[in-house]
Amino acid sequence: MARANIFHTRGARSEPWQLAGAALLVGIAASIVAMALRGGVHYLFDLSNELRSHWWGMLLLPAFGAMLGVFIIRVLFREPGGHGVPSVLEAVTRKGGHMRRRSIISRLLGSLCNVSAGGSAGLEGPIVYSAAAVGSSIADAMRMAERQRVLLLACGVAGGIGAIFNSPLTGMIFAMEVVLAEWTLGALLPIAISATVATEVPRALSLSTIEGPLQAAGSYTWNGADLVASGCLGLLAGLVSVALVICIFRAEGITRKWKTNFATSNLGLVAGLAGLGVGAIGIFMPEAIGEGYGTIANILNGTTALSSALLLLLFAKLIATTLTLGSNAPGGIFAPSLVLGAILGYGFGGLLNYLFPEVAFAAPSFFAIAAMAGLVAGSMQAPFTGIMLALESTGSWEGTLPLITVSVLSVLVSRTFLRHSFYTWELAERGELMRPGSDRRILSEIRVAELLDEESISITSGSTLDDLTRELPNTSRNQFAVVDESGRLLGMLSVTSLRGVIFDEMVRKVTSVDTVMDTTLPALKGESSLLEATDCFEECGAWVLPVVDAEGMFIGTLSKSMLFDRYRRELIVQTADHLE
Amino acid sequence: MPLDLHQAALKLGVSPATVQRWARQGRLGMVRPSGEFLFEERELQQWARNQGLKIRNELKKPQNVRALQDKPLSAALAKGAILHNVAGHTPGEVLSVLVELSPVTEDRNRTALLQQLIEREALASTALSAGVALPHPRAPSDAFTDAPVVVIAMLEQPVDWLALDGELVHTAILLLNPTAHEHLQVLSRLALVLREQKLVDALKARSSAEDIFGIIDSLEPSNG
Repeated sequence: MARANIFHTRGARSEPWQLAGAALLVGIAASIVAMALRGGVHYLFDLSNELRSHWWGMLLLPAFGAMLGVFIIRVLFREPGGHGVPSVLEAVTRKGGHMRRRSIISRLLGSLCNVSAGGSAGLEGPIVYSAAAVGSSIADAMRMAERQRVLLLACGVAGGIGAIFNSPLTGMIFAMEVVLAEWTLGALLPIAISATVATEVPRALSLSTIEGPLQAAGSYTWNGADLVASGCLGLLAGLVSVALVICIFRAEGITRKWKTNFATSNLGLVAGLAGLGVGAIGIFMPEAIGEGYGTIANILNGTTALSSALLLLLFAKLIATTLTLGSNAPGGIFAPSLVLGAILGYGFGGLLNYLFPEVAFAAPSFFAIAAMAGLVAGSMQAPFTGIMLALESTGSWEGTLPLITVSVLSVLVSRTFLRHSFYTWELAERGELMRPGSDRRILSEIRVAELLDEESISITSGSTLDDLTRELPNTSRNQFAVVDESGRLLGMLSVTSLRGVIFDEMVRKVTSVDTVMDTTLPALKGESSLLEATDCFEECGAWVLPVVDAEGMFIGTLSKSMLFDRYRRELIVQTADHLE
Repeated sequence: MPLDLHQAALKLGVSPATVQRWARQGRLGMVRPSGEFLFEERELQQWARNQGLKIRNELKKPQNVRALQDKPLSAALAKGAILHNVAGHTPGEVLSVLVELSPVTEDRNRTALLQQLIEREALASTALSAGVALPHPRAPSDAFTDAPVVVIAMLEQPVDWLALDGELVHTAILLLNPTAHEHLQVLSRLALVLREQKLVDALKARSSAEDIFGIIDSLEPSNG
């Protein structure tokens, strides 16, 4: 009996170490990106505070920032607008983790202008985007394969989130739950390294913890009644997340319509108009605009008054966020979700204490933390990310159970109303959300040219059926391509369809292949993916289709049986986790 | 109205046993779990959409098949004509007369048709054996006809059609078909009936149109 081989081959042994080293680099770089953006926004926001003290400054500043942000991203860097996370997902699912190097700074600059000027959006989306581009670029520089590049991209994301929230676990979970959508040991290792390093760098440089305001929370005690209340809060949080996501998508739809109607080449004008609306809200409710961490801090340390004005603030924040993100101004949904959650939970807690003074409920700020988790979980449909973010960044570990309750119920509500999360919606609607190991992903990665039947035979136009029958003994195939002298495909000829005429010698001799070939069959392109090929087979019902190159030259045939045979092998390879 | 197992299977393009297995695994919702398999059509469609499966709303007919003719050749001949004494000394002359007499719809098609017939002859003679030629355009096209048409032309005088067996052609049979599939169908029937000496003799003898049609109709096997 052969000795079982329990050792890896040399390559398999060294690869995880290479990845670990690269992840370390990515973590440091992602951390720098996060710190730079955070610092820049704080600096610019403080700088522009003077302007904001005048009503006209408050009104015009967000519009100016949004227009500048859109201009930077769309005109200077020629990239799609918005918060950028769908682009990261697209890079993961469709582009083998490839992102352009300039993406590292494009969204940083754009969102820096927008958010520091008062746009109601977060920096996390842009940081995720930049950090992902950092990971991708480092992988490129190290000449890594696609799978490793995707992993390093996820490392960048984990590092960016870890650094900005001072929460390594949140970074890891976000990268796996939202970006990779796979939980494998091979992926966990480098992501953990990156998240750890990225979180430690600002601490080591003794920069104040980046998301300081969230740490304002104290320590809480809760009881069974609070858990029941958390259930209700979870449902509410779910509804508010659904409202947020739907509002933003509706607004995006309007933005697109305006863009085509007014034939503006960029969205700067729409974003500017929406920015005016944000500014108008800011005049009456300054707490509703900007990133909003100040608002959260006030809620968590209990300085915000518990009154019906909270409901107004909730709506104001919802509208401001819809205006900013719906007009494709650069910025993310993370921070607005947290702010909305804090307002919702705080108000909810206050209402509980008002309605049931005899029950000893936990402090309203405790519910604020729970609802923050719920809002993040609901809008991203990522329960772990919500739970972990609230736990880690506020340090209220004793509140685990209510947090889980709120997050999971919020996701349940969100899933009931929305088929996709805020991040995956755009891709899924385009049919391009292809998770690892899924049928569409596998089909989309194989090109038709890989599966060509080498034995396929072509016959020149003008030949007779008699010429064709002389070829028959040399092949086992019964589908022939008819081509012209230069090899261009003209039609297909199936021997089975010739059964009625092929046995009459005279008819064979007077019948040219051109007359009896089938020209209605579609031709596949060698460069097409199997996804398109399977659709084509399904539509025309054929078993064998001709394949042509970009110039229309016949290069072979593809049969359904070949397709199935290769598909199965591909499935085995692609679903095996060789990094484990 | 809910669909039963077979209807659901038809819509999804799989066998009833597969639908049954999916329902048993809980992947596909049923209306009544009590023994009988029933599926709500709207739910089925939504489910298929979520899975990325295509729903077949009706069974697709193969593209080329028109209403199936019981006797394709006789039908094509009924649409066409049986002509006597078609003039001409060369295949080209015969063809131009034939095109003038054949029942194609618009005049602008006639010039194109004649050109295509001559091009086809230039490629290789369409003369069969025993003095019969089968002129036809190189590529079937619905530019000339919407349904198969066969025109039998008995020539005024035998014409040298460059036949392989060297025989002079006494009868030209024009074939017009909108698709390759129909061309093959009519051609195979024609090959079959031309093997019968009875028909060749009747053509040589310049029998009446009714007689020739009768012979062909009796020789052509019925699809039913």
